Amino acid sequence: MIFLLNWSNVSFLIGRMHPLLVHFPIGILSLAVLMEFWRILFNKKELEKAALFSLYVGFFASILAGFSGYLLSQDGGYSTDTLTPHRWAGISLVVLNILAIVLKTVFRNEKWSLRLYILTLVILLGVVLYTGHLGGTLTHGSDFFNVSQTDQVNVRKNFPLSELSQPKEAYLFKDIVQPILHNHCGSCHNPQKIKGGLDLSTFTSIMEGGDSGPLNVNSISESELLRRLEEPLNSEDRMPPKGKLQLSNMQLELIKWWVAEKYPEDIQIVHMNLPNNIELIFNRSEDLNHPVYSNDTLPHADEVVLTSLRRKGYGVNVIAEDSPFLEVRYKFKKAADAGEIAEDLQPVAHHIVWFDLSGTAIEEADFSRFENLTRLNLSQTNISDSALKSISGLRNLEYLNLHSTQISSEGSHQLGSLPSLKNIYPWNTGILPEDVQWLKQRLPEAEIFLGVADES
Amino acid sequence: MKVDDQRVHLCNCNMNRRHFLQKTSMGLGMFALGALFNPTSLFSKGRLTDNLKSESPHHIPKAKRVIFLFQSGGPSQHDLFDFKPFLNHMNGDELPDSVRGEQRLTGMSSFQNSFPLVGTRWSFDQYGESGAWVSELLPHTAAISDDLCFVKSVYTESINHDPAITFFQTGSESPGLPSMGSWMSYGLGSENENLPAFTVLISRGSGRPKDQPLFSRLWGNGFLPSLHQGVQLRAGEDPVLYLNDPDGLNRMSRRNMISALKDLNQLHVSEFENSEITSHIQQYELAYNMQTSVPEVTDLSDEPESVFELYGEEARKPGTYAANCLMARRLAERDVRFIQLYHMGWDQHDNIPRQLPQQCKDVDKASAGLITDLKQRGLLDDTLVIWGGEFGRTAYCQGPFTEHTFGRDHHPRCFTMWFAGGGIKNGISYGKTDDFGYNVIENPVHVHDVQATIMHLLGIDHKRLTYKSQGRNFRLTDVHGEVIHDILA
Repeated sequence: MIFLLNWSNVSFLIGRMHPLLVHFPIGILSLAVLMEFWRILFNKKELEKAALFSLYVGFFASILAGFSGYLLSQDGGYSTDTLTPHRWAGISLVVLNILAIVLKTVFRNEKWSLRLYILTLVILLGVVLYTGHLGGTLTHGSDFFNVSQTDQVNVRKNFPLSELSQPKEAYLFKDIVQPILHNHCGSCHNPQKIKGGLDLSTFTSIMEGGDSGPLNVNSISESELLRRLEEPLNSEDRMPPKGKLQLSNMQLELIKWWVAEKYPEDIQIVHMNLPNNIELIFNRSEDLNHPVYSNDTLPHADEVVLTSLRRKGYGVNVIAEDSPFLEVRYKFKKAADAGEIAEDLQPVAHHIVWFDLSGTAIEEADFSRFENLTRLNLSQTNISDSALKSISGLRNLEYLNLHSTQISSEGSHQLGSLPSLKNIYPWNTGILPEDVQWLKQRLPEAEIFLGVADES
Repeated sequence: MKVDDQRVHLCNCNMNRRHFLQKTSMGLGMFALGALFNPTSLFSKGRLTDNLKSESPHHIPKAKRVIFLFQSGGPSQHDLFDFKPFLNHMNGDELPDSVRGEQRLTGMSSFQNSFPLVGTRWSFDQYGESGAWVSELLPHTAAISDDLCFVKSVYTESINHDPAITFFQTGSESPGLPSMGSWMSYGLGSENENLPAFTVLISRGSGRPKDQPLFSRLWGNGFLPSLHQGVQLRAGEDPVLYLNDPDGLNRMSRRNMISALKDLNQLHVSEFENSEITSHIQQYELAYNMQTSVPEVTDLSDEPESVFELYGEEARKPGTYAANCLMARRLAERDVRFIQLYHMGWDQHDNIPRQLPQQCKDVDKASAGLITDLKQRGLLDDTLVIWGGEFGRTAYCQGPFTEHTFGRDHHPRCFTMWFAGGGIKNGISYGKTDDFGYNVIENPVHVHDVQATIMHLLGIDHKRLTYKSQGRNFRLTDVHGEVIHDILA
């Protein structure tokens, strides 16, 4: 118990207990007032002693809360605009509490005391609530109750790049750095709650820095901002502290880049030189900008449906954690029946992005309902040209595997209207080199590999 | 280093409200909650939740499966991929001390009085649109070089075979940790309940048919549930030993026996809550399914003639590298997660001019054939193929150096691997070695980086896939590893 030996640590610890301790006086004093009123209104005499007892306990609890609150305020970081009234409200609360006790005990037989006592209790209750409210403002910010105001703040969730339709058109500070800082740091570094003297809400306030001084534009290595972000998670200096929402590696890279570029305010990413790692982030963000995978309006598929599909012999997995999208394979290859499969999968038709029916016995199939499909594997099936008609409406399809099927030239012409197609596998089908040429003219982005060993 | 007393003291006193609450209220709460979640740890006799169930990937994967063409013994990068005209020029001259630096040597060449540099005996040329340098020893690989990504700056920690292969497979030189394939099986689960998610195929090299031995612990599951260990498919009658029923036992009896055994084991699970029993139940089921699936997958009679033209005639001979490559494609088609090949015999300490061409002949056509075959079947798109050994070979000669012969010793400081398929940028060469081909001078890639990259492509964050054993969480990449983003498509 070495920490007990050091006063600064004890005071720190007790100070940090304040948010815990304040609830005792709030609860106990409110209860005391309530019991006293109850007694007077309904003449419940038995409550008298309990109310007095509660006032005593409330007194000690408020002393304790006040003491710890004083120690906490020594840490700094709270806006004095709110802190000073909070402190005085707390002190008046104790005074009113003492007054109430004195009226109840010493002057209880005086005629005037009852009215004064009731008045004191009413004020006491008001002050308790007011003090608590100010404390809440210090901890949660003044807009905590204000729903509309929270909405007005430009809050981007998760990785901000995913919400930018054209990441490179974005402004580095306004569209990327500021939302990251707002989401991850804003709850403690805002104009109301300036922890460490640092307000990270606007460009100017960020540049002003906190207690450790303004940001030094000329020295990246001395950036306090970066140092704090990169401290180990267990370190006292680490920001955001352990237990708070952390920055992802990508977000950290972006912040580092912003610092390395000497904190630019008004510059679009297209006008900047992207270092390798940043270029990669933007390239990868295309993945997050994928028209299908980034759709976050789709609710997750019903777990019950997934379980019943698995029992029926479907391999069903979400493509990544937190994603609503599914990959589906059918395992009982010989027994596959296209109509039955379509019916089974109907409840999750919009969830399926990767669909593997390779090697199954299906012949005809209607894929039009699976409108989010990006990968479809029909290789080694009995599928023929007519089935490709339903594929021609799949605007998101990128990968289409048709090898070793009955598809012919005619079917391949259905594919020319699929703008997203990137990979087509027509090996070992009736599709001829001239069809491939035809397709390549219409889909210049697509890679079509006819294979090498199809002569036999 | 000066120890700052004040800081040490502060560290010792590091208890604040957060820690305090965590250690007291949360600690006790979590203790109770933990008991609810994990009935084995406390007094409860409730049923153990199935902790073997696969998780979903951390991010959207680029590859769904891996074929690792492990070239065991250490292929000579100087004679295959890492072309050094300067080394040819310096042929016979002494290796400068400044290049060797503090590099340790193996006991096999450290006693040599002289370390003459030796250039390659084979001609190199640039191939494809990418202009990759490949030796004449690998004509088929050269022909598909636009589909490959050559990484010339891989380096490792170990200088001898077993620790180096163990390091590559398990992330640690000391044996006993789970193999890469076991980690993938544990992290991603199986997509085919009839075949093991981690399958191993071994072939012997013609260059040095007797060396180096491999140990089955290289594909062991370590502390992971034993369901995730690699299963070796052998050549010949019995691809998996003791898998077939003995004479006189029909399949129905076997089924009844396994069902009864399962019931008995379930009784034990409910009593002892040992996850290894659950693992055994699943293994019995898998083995039963494999009684039909393994003969099916190893039967090449449904493969057309054109396939053997592609992989080479050798592919008809079970147990050859070519046959294993073909098997790898068949396993990939059946969604086996991690297919690990080992081709032995790359350990050319002497007589490279005789041994190396034979080794290359073993693997060249089949490796290239595998890539082409995967590509035409649309499998290369989501299959990651890796070719490489546990380390490289020295720029200097080991043993007799004559006009007809020379050898090269183990060299961990740099070697070449190639990658292809799922999520890899093809048609590039990454990383550079110096003019001697001795040290990496640009974009070094550590073995842990390779592992992190493989996991990344499969949708796994290598820092997040952990397993607690002996009181701490383990990772394949230990506390190291950076994803090589530059080689990702």
